[in-house]
Amino acid sequence: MSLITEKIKPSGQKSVLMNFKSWLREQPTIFAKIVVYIISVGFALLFFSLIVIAIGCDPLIAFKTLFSSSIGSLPRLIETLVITTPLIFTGVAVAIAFKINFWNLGVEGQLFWGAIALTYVGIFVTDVPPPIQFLLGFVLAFLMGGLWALIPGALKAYLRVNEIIVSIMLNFVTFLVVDYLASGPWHDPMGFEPLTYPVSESVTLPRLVLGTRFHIGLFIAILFAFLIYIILNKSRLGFEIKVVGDNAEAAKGCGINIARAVVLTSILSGGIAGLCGASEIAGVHHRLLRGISPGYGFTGIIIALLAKNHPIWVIPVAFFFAILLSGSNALQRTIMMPAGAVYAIQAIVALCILIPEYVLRR
Amino acid sequence: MGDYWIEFIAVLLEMAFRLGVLYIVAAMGEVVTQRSGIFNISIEGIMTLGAITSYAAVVSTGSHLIGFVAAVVTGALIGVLLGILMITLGMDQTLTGMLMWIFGIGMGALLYRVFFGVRAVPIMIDTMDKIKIPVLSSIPIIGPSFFDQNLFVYLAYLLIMPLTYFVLFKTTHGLKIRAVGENPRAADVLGINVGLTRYLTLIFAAIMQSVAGAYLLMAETAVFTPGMIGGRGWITLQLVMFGRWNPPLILGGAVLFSFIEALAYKVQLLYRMIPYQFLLMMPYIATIVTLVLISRGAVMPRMLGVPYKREKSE
Amino acid sequence: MEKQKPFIEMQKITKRFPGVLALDHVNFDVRKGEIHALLGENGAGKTTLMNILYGLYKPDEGEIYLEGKKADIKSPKDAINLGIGMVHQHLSLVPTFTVAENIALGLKSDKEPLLDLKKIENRITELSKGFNLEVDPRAKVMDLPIGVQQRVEILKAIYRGAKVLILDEPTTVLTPPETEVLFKNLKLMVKKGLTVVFITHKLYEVLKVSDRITVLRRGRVVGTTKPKESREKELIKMMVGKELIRVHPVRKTKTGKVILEVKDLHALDDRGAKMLSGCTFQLYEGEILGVAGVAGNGQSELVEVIMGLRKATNGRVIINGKDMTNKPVWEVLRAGVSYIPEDRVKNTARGMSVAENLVMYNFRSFINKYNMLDYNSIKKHARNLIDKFNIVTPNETTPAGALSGGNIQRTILARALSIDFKMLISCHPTVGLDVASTAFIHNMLIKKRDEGAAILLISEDLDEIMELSDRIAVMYKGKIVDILPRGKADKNKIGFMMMGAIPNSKKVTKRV
Repeated sequence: MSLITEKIKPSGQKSVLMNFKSWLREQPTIFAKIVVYIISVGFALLFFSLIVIAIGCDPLIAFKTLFSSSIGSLPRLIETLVITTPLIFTGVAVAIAFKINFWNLGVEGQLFWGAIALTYVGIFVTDVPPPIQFLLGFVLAFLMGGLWALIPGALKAYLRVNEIIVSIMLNFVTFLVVDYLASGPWHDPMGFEPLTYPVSESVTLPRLVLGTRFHIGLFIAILFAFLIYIILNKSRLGFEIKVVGDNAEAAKGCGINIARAVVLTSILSGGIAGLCGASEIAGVHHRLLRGISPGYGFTGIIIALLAKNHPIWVIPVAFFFAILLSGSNALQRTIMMPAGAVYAIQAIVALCILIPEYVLRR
Repeated sequence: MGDYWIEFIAVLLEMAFRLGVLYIVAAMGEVVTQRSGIFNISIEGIMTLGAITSYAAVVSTGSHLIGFVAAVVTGALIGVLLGILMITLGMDQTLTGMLMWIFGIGMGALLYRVFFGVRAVPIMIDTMDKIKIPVLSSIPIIGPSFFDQNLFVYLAYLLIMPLTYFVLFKTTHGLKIRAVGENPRAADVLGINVGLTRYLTLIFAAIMQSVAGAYLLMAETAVFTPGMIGGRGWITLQLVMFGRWNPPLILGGAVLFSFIEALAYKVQLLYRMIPYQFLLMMPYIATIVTLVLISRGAVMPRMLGVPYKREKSE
Repeated sequence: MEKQKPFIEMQKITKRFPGVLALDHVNFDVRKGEIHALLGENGAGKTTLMNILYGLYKPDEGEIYLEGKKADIKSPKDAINLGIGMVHQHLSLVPTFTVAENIALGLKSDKEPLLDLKKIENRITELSKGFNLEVDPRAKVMDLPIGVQQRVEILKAIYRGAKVLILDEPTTVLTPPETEVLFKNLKLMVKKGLTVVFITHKLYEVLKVSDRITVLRRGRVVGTTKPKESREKELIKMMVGKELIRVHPVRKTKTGKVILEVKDLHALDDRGAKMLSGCTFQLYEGEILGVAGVAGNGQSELVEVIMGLRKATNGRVIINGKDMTNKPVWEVLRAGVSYIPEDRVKNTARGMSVAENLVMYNFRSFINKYNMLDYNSIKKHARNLIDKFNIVTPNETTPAGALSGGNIQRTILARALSIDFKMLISCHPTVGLDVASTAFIHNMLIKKRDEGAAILLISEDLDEIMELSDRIAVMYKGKIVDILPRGKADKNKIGFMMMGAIPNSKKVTKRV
């Protein structure tokens, strides 16, 4: 036995406590934090104003329009809530994937497959009792979305294929499929643009407020956000997801089956995205067309990033982006701001919120 | 009947060589920066920005050269911005790339609106002229398909790719770049500025990718549409892997994929009963298939995607 | 004796890192043509001091003088220009490059910008002959054994005209015979006009080869002395601040049955090279079997195969009578095996709480009837372990990444030791730890052995192996060369076996 004449103290106890205390001290002061965030928010506003000026309008008016059209009155607020619904879905779908470092950029496509599934059930599976049809639609939507995400998921888990490229490629494929269905076999001859036949009554989501588009999808979305939160933080799978996402090597060393965790997560992620698509069809559009999602899947990515992949925080962040989206819809009408511009704005907002964190670290 | 097939192949090759330039230019930029350890996934966004700025430049000045200059400037600015985010601030490269991609696509639409207002009929620009090379263009098949192209095609195949290969593997600078990607600590310890090296490769990549977008505009589409890149930025990413980070192989991959694109297009014209959507899917599906096939045994630069920080010792 | 003017003088060097004062007004000087050893335990600040000399760090206070002139070393480039070269503990070579490419890196070639490898290769051959550092300039570094890689690193510095060569813990990657060769080479370099500074925590090296010794402790210079003027005991006192009496552990219990049987194991590494070629041995209950060997002879692969982290291409792993070859990791864990991995950072989930990290091996046993994790009992269990293992942390929900290195190591240790195991695999358990922590871990291992566990100890620290093991196995090129009982093992014998020499006695010792 190694004898040491002095009693062994735990590894430099004094120095460790000092370590933590001065680590705290070296943390950016509250003052510094406030300053940096103000600067970055200011920058975001500046950017927005520049864009508006470049289009030839008054930034103050644009700003006012942005907020008044999104939350300025009750009906408008409700409409913003309608947009919040898909954003919660996609935000959660992306968040759980990102938690395990599965870069699921294919949420947009998985969303559409859910929509396709629900549309199919809504149009063609009509000889079953309505409640069954309804359930079948949503279950199938979850499955289809999940399966579509399983492609990059399984490829990543078993063959180590880069899921970013695969999931984005699959998006493009999905868009073409939707295009085909909406202008081909499922095309509604009474419509001008490519869109399908309407789905039957039984697969619609009931409206909560008459005269608006507000449907119960919002509560389904919130429900799933909480569900995913519980899975992530209380279940065995959630524990495995967190460990694999934090340190895959460590996970392997503890006997966690990484491939299985990735596969299950991808199915969950895609499934939620599929539900989003189903919700949009069943609650808002009632038929399949290319325009049911102006890029909710991509906004979902930004939402997840800003919510730090926390399913519950996704909800307020989604609402914030719904304001942005709904406000910019109005701006499109009033000052002819192009549809794509809102993406630039979203990206800048995201950057402005994320950069301070890194700047403060230095 | 044999003549028909030969002509068919020649036409396809001609398209393939032409379209391939986009991939080659963008991929040469990307391979250099990936070799230095930066995994830049914002290619699609950078291409879009290059396209819109060159479009604006050409419409206002009528000169293709100015268009390219505009693209170079755009690329340089983006490269610096990306460098600040990824290198100086140490943000996650995948994240940053995603944001720049979304930003680029959005800005493309926005700048179009800013420069051109709302138009029913977009302005078309002249595409680049073809230059026919006297003797060589008479060689059967290869002749008309390769030696009767616009200037940039010649530049890309005969200058840009070989130059990239040469610099990467035969010069001291290339050695530095590769070392930084394989073991940045080894380079740091010898006094090589890892951050600066990565900045430079990133700026080079952004310039190349911006120019690639400009090329697509000036040689092919002649107008700007927000979705004009159509996923080719992502395919470029795959091509770099497919070519095992080796310029000549990447060139081969680029021609192959352009060939598939050309084939899909031609088949669509010929066989109208096949819904065109399924043919348009071909390049995307091909990309996935290639990725699956090459994912075994791909040896990438070891420190790809990992930001470098001098670690504290003891 | 005439007092020589210092060649390098470092005055009042102070360096702070967040939360730690690494160097506290350190004065250090080097005379021309000497071999000066910088001695101290892990964490004393030796590497930091030399990194400052080499331009990798900037001191917060203090100055450096070279031959009387003030030197402003802002980066390794400056240091290299001044003739200072450094070989780091973790070799900084590019594995996929050849030797020549590694040495050429960053140098201007005559045919700028063209690489002129031919010329470089010739010069390398010249230099390597002159300094007895034989190396093939066209070989790929990743194919070379570590001892040869170190030579490349030294050549890298000499090629750039280094007048001073700093070596950071050079002998950790060498076998005893290779260490002898290194020391001979150092003396040769000095003859050729070089000056050498070498960092170590090993006393006998210092006494063997250095002209002067400076001892650092917790960032302060304790003293500078000459080998003739001091003995081991005094040096230890300087290093650690107290007397250390080392007594070999006495084995109390008898060994029991065979817990682990490894039969003719073959395996490849990630690049497809053969790393295990017929490895065979047994491990018994109630013993510590130490596996000595230079890194790269298959030790990591052996551990990975036993744990199920790597596929065995041939052979068998039998744990407690059951064939566990190529079974998944969790089955191996369930069979009663625990594992202290080599790289603590690689095996910690830094974003997750200390409690979660502590249960990473056995989280499945905290599942309640709803198939959910019972976090309350996890936290209780964690608090228990934190207390028992003296893990210093604000509380059990703190993210593991906020802990200091030593406490992360304790967490990993606690994790491994808190599950029910019959067999423990412990890889390089005390690398980079200070004396107090090292002693703690050693005591733990011995305690568990006395309680009847079987312990497989893999370490590059021959002293550690010799101190703790009941039997010592030597691994060379993927095979167990021989296993010696404690009494019959001496450093030289083992050293030669680590180089591949097969001892005269053919029989492999089974039990004592």
